[in-house]
Order: sequence, then structure tokens, then C-alpha cells
Amino acid sequence: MSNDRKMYSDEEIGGLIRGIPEMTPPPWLASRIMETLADKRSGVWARFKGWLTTPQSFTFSPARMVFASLLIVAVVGVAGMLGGRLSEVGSGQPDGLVPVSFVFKDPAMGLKSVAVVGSFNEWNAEENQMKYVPEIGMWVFRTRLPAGDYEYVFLVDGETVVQDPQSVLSKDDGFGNRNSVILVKGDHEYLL
Amino acid sequence: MNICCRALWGAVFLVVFASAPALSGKELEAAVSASLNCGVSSSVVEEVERAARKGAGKEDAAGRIIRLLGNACRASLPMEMLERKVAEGLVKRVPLQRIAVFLERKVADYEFVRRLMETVGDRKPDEQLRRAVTVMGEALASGVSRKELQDMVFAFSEKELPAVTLGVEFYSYLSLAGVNRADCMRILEAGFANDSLTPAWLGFPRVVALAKRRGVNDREIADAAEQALKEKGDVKSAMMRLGFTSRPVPEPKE
Repeated sequence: MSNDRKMYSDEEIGGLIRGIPEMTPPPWLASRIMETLADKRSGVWARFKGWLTTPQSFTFSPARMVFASLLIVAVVGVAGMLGGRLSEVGSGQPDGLVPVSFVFKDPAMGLKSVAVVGSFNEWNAEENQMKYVPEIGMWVFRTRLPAGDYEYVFLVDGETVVQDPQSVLSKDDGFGNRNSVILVKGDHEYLL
Repeated sequence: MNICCRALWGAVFLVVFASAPALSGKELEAAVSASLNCGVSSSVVEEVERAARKGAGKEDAAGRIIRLLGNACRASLPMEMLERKVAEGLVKRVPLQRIAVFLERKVADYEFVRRLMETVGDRKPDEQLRRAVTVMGEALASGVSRKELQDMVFAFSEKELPAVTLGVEFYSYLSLAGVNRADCMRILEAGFANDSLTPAWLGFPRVVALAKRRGVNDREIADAAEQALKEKGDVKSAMMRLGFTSRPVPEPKE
């Protein structure tokens, strides 16, 4: 291979291109190029609109009609069942349970244990021990309850019964003390 | 129930209780067996027995509690609340004797409500009746007198039982929130007259309690509720009349 190739600068190449004589393209060139290009595909909406506005004809066999009818009945039935169930449990809570938090102030952390016992947990202290949160100086218990009204008290250090000082409603417990009352609404929204 | 009535009931039951013969170990066993056979909660019975073993002289009271539960069960009274109150008394370290007295009063209230239901119509023993007995029994425990309950049931006897039950529950909550009885009845009558009292209104007494803390008086509360019920409105419309707004509270983060 010879090594006598001439090296051109950009300017020289530009000059050579400019020096090429202009020629008229052959008449078949444009049509041949256009043939190789695919038609431009219209958008989904434009195609759907075209389908809607163009008269269509459909053919059904009896078997397909029966199948389609059964499918429609099944879909409507399932939608009805789901709708009914959702309306029963209230909006926003698929399981019908409402988040509820109980808090008991103890800024000095002077208590050994606090449990919340009430009608929602069969007055069982063992399963409902509250957790102390030092950052806010409070004992906290979070749960989820069905809508309704519940009586409760705090059981401090396993033996002292204390009414919730933040509760606005209370009720005579029949044993000489009072229970706090919480009303839980069904639509995941506490009043006020 | 006023203080005199409560004292009288307490005295009556204490006399009855004190005059009851002591139960032997065998009698206690028989009472336990009969109660369990009827379907009384075994965990409650066990807890009562455990409490009885902790001190001398407690067997009589324990036996009385278990017998009362068994009798109530056989009489087809709603058991849930009775069992729950026994569990509540035990966790609060209430003496067994006092639990027994309370239980007797509660059973008497339930029987009163059931008789009342029978007098106003053919109320078959179904779930609606069981709920009515429970709710109205609770209303009596909350301070509604038997006379008030009877008046309400007779006044609205043309309504369906679930509606009457809801009305009594609503009335007892309103009175718990401190609304005077006349205004409680005015609100209730507005709800029944316009068929607009729904279970959602059971949340209204909490609004009432807060409104009273802000100095709103009973008449203003009753006016707001009555107007909302007349317009078939909800609790929020009554709240707005009282100057409150409601806002959703986001679910606490775990």
C-alpha cells in the first residue's frame, strides 16, 4: 500500500465540495426514495377516533353471545359485592378498623408500667402494655378498633386504676369508680 | 338512677347477699359445671375461681358470681357485657362481693328491659332484642332511670326496635355528656320526627362535651342539633352551627 496519500485540510475539502458541478437529479430518484419510507403512523387517539367514526359491522355466533353475557353478569356481580362490602365497612378503611392511640403522660418516667385495659380488649392488662416514648414523656399504645364506643382505664404499675385525664366522656363503672369513654367513628375521622 | 335509688338497690342486694347461705366446695364445683355447660366463658370462670383461692371467705362470693352467670345464660340474657364486667372488676381488684352485687343489679336491669320489650309488642328473642337488652341495660347503668327508659320505649313504640335502641343509646350518651334530660328528649324527638337519626349521630355527644367546655349551653346545643335533624343533616352540620369545624386526622405512623 502506497504512503503517498495527500492530506487535506478542512478548508481544502470544503473548497473541493464547492467546486463540484451541480447536476439535475434523475426524475426517478424522488419516487424511489419515497417508496422506501414507511407511512407515518397516526396516534392512538386518532386511530380510535377513526374507528369510532367509521361504520363497522360485527358478527356474533350464539355461543359467543352466551359467553359474553355470562362474563358481563359475573363482572357486574363482583363489582356489586365489592361495592356493598366497602359501603359496610366505611370509607377509607378496607378492614373497617379505625386507628386509635392512647397516651398517658409521665414526663419524669416515674412509673414502672402502664397498661390500657378496656371493653375493646376484654379488660386484659397483659396484652395491652403501653410503651414509653422518652422524647415526648408519654406512655403510648396504638391499636385499630371497629367503630363504636369503648370504656377504658389505665392500669398503672399493675394495680392502680387511673381514668384518662384527656378523655372528655366518662361513665360510672358500677364499682365506685369511673371509666373513660372513647367514641370511635367509622369513617377514619375523629370529631374535632 | 338517682343516689337514693342506688343506695336502696345496694342495701337490698347487700341484705340479700349477706343472708345467703355459704356455698360448700361441692356446690361451687356444681355451679362452675352448670355455668360452663350453658356456655359461660371458661376464662372468666377460671379467673373468678383463681380470685376466690387468693383469700379466705371469698368462695361464697365467687360461687354467687358463677351462679348468676349461669342463671343469666340459661335465661338467654346477653352474656357478653356480664362476662366483661366480671373481667373488669377482677382486673381492677374489686372485691368479689362487690362484683356479685353489681352483677345482680345488672341481671335485674336486663330482665326489666326484656319485660319492657314484651309489653310493647311481640318482640321475639332474636339478635335485635339481645342488642336492645344490652344497650338499654347499659343506659340504665349510665344513669337513665327505669321510668325514663319506659317513657321513651312507649313514646316511640311505633318505630322499629333497632331505631328505638339507637334512640335510647343516643339519649344516654347525651345525658352522659351533661345535657339536661329535657333537651336530650327534644333532640331525640327531632330525630324520630324527621327520621334523620342515624348511627353517625352517636358521635355527637363528644362534640357536646367539648362545646360545653367552651361555654355553650344546653339550649344552644339542643337548638343546633334539632335544626340539623329537621333538615336531615349530619353531625357536621350541627357542629358548624355550634362554631366547630371537623378535620381529618391522619393515621399515626408506626
